[in-house]
Amino acid sequence: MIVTKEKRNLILAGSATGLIAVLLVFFGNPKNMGFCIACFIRDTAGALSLHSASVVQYARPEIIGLLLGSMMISIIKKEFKPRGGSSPLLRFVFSFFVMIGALVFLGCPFRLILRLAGGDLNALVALFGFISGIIGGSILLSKGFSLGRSYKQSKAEGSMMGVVALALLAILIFIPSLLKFSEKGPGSLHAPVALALAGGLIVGILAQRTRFCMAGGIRDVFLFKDSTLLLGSVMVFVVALILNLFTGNFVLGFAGQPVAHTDWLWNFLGMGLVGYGSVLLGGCPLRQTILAGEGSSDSAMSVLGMLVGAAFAHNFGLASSTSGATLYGKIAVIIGFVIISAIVFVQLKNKK
Amino acid sequence: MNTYIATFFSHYGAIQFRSHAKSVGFSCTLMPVPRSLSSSCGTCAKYEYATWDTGFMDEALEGIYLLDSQNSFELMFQTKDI
Repeated sequence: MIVTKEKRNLILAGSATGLIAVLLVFFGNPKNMGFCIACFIRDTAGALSLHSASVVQYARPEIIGLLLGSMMISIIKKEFKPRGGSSPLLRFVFSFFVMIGALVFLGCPFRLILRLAGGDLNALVALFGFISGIIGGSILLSKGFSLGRSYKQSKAEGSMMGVVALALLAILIFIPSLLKFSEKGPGSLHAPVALALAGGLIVGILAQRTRFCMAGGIRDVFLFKDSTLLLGSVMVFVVALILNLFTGNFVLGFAGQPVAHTDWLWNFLGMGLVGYGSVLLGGCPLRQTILAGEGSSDSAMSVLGMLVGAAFAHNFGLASSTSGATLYGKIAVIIGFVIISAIVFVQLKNKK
Repeated sequence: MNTYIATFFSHYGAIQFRSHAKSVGFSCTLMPVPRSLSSSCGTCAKYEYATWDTGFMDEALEGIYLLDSQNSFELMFQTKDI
């Protein structure tokens, strides 16, 4: 039975991913941040001096591992398909705002699950926002919104993101003086490079094999009443929760949570924007990273959109801090909703 | 009557196929693409028809598979551009 095998694989992959996320925190990553695609792309932007927030600068090997893991396994399994041309610049813009929303909440959907598993109730508020955003986006998909189909591209185009990841890894290992490294704050907290890279590689492989996606899981439940994909996220939560309970890292409450704020409205809206943008893009930040490794230059544009979004978020004071969302961050989230909606409605109108 | 799975390059393609099914008058359900058919997380259409060809011609159509009684897939049609 095909569906059962798919579910079994997602349960195993989700469980392994939850375990790796908790292990990475045990070995040095910030709390409830074993994985966070938004935070790690933001840290990488800082390491490359694309922004100057000194507490969030580190070329995270997890991101490099995710890209390379996905690329390697897709080549081995003959699923590496260079393709692109599905509204690349619109994907860049959507992803830019997905990153803004994530940095107003302080985490991508992956970290949302890990924050929930750590007892952070602010993430529960954000989860409602995330679900609302996904439902809103799914309705627009059902009404006919599309970024258009992708087309076959050259191998050079499809493999370029992997080359960039390899180059960044080489710089991190052999010429680290080119990069910035936080001396304090979340950017200074990290697992050893080899472990972080291994964690990224394994999760990259698992996510490619199972199509693991936080936004897609909820979208499939809403559009098709199919909970297969959601199982992966549920298992990450369950395993991380159990391990947090055993290791004393579970602290239930709103206040004083690690790298989090209690500004509930902006936790809701920030993650709402992430859900809205992600479902229109066809996947959460993790999924975009995996697809970029698989040869999708459209998803590579998403990763670049998130990288630039992260740089803007810190250069222009849009990212939240533990004391809450900033005025500019709030304005940017609203602008994000307006711009994405305007693009969608113009597209839908042109189709009629 | 056979059961087929049609895969598409976009969710919108699947919606157009569903509209086509409605106008021609055959049963069609949209669902997530089975993992064994694709590493993409797109939408596919499961439909009942005498042959795989329902007269749907759109560049969004990627492939069509026959679903046999053992739940395995046999490729019937695949666009050249993948």
